[in-house]
Amino acid sequence: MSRSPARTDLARELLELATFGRDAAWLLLDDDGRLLRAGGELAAHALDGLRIGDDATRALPMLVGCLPPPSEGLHLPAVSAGSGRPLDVALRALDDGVLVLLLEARTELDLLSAMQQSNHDAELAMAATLRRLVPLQGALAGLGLRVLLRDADGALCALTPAPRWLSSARAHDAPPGARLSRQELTPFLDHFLGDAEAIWTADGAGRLRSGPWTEQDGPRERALEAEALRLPDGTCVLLVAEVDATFREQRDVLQAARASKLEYDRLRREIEQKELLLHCIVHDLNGPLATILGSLSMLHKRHADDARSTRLVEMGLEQARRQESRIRQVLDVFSAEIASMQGFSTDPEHAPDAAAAAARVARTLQPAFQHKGVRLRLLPDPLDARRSRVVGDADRLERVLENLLENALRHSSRDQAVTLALRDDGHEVVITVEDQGPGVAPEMADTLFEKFGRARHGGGAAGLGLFFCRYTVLSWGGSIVHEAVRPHGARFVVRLPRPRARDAGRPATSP
Amino acid sequence: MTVKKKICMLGTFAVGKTSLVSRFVHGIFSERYQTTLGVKIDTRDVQLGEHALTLLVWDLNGEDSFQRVRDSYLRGSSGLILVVDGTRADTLEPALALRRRALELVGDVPTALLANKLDLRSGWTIEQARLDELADAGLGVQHTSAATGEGVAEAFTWLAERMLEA
Repeated sequence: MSRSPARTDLARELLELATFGRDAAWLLLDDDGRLLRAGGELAAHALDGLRIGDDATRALPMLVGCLPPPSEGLHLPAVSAGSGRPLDVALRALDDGVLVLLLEARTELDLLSAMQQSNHDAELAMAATLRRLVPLQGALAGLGLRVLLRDADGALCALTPAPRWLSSARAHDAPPGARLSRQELTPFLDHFLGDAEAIWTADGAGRLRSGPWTEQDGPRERALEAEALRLPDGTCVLLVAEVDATFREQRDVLQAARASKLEYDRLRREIEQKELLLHCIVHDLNGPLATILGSLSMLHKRHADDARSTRLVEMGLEQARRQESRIRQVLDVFSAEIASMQGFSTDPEHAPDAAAAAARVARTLQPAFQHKGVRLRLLPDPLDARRSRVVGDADRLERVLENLLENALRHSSRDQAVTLALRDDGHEVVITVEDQGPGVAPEMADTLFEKFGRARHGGGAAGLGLFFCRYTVLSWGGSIVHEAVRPHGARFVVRLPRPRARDAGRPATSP
Repeated sequence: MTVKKKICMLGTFAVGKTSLVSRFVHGIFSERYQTTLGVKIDTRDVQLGEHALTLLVWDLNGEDSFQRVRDSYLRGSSGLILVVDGTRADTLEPALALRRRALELVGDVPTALLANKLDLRSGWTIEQARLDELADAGLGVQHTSAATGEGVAEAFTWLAERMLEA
C-alpha cells in the first residue's frame, strides 16, 4: 500500500496552513535530504541557490535527523534564512519523496483580512483568497491536484491550471484564475457539487469526499477523486486528485477478491452437481441390497438348525445391514442438504414429541446395546407430552437420536453405560446423550460436526452421522454441541426450541 | 431541444453492467472482466421520434460485501437498469434490493431488468417464471447479451421511451 496519506488530506493541511502565512516555498527531497524538485518563493528563504541533487539539509539544518518523517508528518518551528522571520516547516512523506513546506508564520497578514472584511464584493474576496493561496500552486500541482475555489456566488475559480478533463465544455486548459460555471464541469463533478454545497454553506470547517470516478481523456482513462473542503477561515475549496495508483491498487485487490468469490461459487455448484451424481449412484446401490437382505433372512430361517450355515448367513446379514446403514446415512445427508429440509412443524399440535421419539429410538436400539453388553439408560422423563414437543420433524428427530445413540454405542465397551436424557429448559427442550467411552480426541473436536469430520481421523463410520445431526438441528433453529466428560466419555447436547406459532411447514433457513 | 436523462446501472458484481454500457455506447465488447470501482459516466444521444435525448449512463460499482453503492450517486436518476447474470440466479435479489433503495431516494422511476449473458444460455439458472412475475409488476424485462449485442439497444430504448413518458 502507499506509504503516503491521501494527497487530498495533505492539500487540506497545506491550504489550512496557508491561511496563517505567505511566501510559501516547497522542496521535494529524497530520504537522504537530496533535492528532487522545488518551487514557490525560494528566494524569500535564501533557497534559490539549491540545485537538483544538492543536500538540502545544509541550507535547512533543522531537517537533520528528521528524514524521513513519520507517517503522520512533522511540524518544525524555524527562522527564515532569507527574511529572518519565524517559519512553520511542515514535512510529509509522499510516494516519490519527502515534501518540505516552508510557510511564514502569521504576522502581517492582515491587509488581506481587512480587505475581505471591508468589501463584500465576491470577486475581490476571491482575488484576496487567490493571492494568499497562489504560493501553494506549485506544491498543489506537484501533488497532482487541481484546486478550485468557490466564491460567494457559487462560481468556481481555478487556483491551479484546470485541464480539459475537468470540464466538459472547454477544449483547452483553463488557466489559474479562470471562472468555471457548474454547467461547464463534467457530469460527475456537476453532480458532486450538489452534495458539496451542504459542506460549503454549513457553519465551521468540513469536508466531503466524492469517492472515485473515471473520466475519459482522449484514449486515456483517468481515475479521479474530488473533495469539497470548507477551511476554518471559511474558504471553500474543491480538490480534484488523480488517484491512478491507489485506484489501480484498490481495483486489483477488489477484482482478486471477486474473482475468488466467483471461482468459489463455481466450485460449489460443481460439488453440488457431483453430490447429486453421487446420490444417484448410492441410491442405485441400495436397490439390490434390499433383495440381498431379504434372501439372507430367508436363508437364516431355513437353515436355523445348521449352526455353521447360520453363522455364515448371520455374517452376511450383518455386513449387508452395515452397508445399508451407510447408504442410508449418505442418502440422509444428501436429502438434508438438498431437498427435504423444507418441511418441518412449528405448530404445537403437530410438532414431534421429543420424549416419545427418545423412547421409540431407545426401544429400537436396545437389542444392539444388549448384544454388545452396553447398558442404555433412558432417564425418567419428567416432561409431559405437551412440554416435550419441539420444532422439527418426527422422522428426522428419531434419526438424529439414532445417530447419536449409535455413535455412543460404537465408542462404548462392554459394561459401560450410555444415558439418554431429556429436560425442560424454558423455551427449549434439552436432549443429552452421554457415554463412558474414550471421549473425543482434542484434534477431532474442531471438525467433529463437519462432513467426514470423524472419518478423517478414523473415528467414525462414514463420517456423516454427526454432520447430519448438526445440519438438521440447526435448520430447526436448535443447536448441538459436544462436551467432554471427566474422567472419560463424551456428551452431546441437543437444544431444540419449543413450537410457539401455528405456522407448520415454513421454509427452513440453512445453517 | 435535447433532453438529458440520467440512468443508473445497478446490480451485483460481474453481471455485465460495464459491458452492456460499452456495447450500447461504443458498440464494443471485451471478454476481459475488469471490476468497476466508483463510477464511470458515458453519454449517448438517441432520437425517439421527434425527441432528441442525451442519456447519461452512470455505470456504478457492483454492490457486494466488499463495496456498497453510494446513495448520493443515485440522486437525480430518471431511470434504472437492473442487471442480473442469467447464469447466477442469486444475482437477482441483490439487484431488486438495490432498486428498492433507489426508489426510496428518487421516487417511482421506470426500471428495466436485463437478464444478461444470454450467450451462455446453456448455463442459465434464473427462473423464467420469476422474470415473468417482475414483468407483470411493471419492470421492462429483457434478455440481453453484451457479447453479441442481442437485446441491448432494445432495453435502453424501452427505458428511454418510458422516461420520456414519465
